[in-house]
Amino acid sequence: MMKFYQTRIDPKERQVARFLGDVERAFQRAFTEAKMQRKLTQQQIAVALGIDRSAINRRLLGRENMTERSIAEMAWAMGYDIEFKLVRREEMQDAENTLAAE
Amino acid sequence: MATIIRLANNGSLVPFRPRNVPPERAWRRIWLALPVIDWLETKVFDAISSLGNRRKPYEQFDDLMEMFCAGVSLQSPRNFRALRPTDQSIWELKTDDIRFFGFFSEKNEFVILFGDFADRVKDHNLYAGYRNETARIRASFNLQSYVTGISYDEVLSDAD
Repeated sequence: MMKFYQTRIDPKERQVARFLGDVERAFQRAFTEAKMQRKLTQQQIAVALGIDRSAINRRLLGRENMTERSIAEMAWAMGYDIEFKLVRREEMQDAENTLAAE
Repeated sequence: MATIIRLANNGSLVPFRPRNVPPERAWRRIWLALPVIDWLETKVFDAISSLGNRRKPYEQFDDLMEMFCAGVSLQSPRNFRALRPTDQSIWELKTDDIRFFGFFSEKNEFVILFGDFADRVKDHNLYAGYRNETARIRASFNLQSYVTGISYDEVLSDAD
C-alpha cells in the first residue's frame, strides 16, 4: 500500500519551474490588482509597450518566454517596480545535489 | 461511516507529501485517489504543455500542490473554483494545462478524485461528467461529513 505520494522532479528543473511560476503569479496578481484599482486593461499595457494584446495575454498565462528586459518593460507598463534578490538555499538535500552535480 | 483516514488506511486515498513543506508544518492537505496518481505517472510526467506554457504540466502540478499545502492564497477562478451548479460542492483545482476535480472533506483538506488535461476537458465539455462522478464517488465513500460551503473562506484559510 502506498503511504504517500511525492512528486519526482530534478531539483534544478524544480527550481526553474518554481521561479517561472513565481513570475507568472506576480504578474497575475499585479494585473488583477491594477485592473480593480485603476481599471487597467491588457490593451493599455499592449499600447504602452507597442505590442499586440495577445502577447500580453500569453505573458500573463505563462505561455511566453520572457527576458529580463521584457519582464522589466511589462512591470513598467503596469505601473510596478521590481524587487529581485537571491536567497541562500537552506535545504541540505538540494545543497548535496548541487555539489553532486559539480 | 467512513473517515478520510480510514479511506487512506484501506488504500482508496493516498496523502500527497510536499517536498518543501514538512508534514507537521503543512497548512493544508491533499488526498489523491489511486487512478489520479496512475494518470500523473503515466500521462502527465513526460507530457509537454499543449497550450505553450513555459512549464511542463507535471511541473505546474508540483507547484500548485506545494502552494496549496503551504497555505499560499489561491487565485479564484484562475487556480481554484466551485463547479456550477454549486449545490454539489465539487471543486476544481487547476493549472494552465491540468484540471483536478474533488471535494473538501474538511476545511483545508482537499480530496482529488479525478485529473485530466485542460484542453481535453474543454474540447469534450467534460465538466458536468466529472462533477457528477466526483459527487457519486464521494457518496460511495459514505463519509461522516464533508464541506458543503462554496465560498473561499468556507473551504480554505491562508497562511500568508
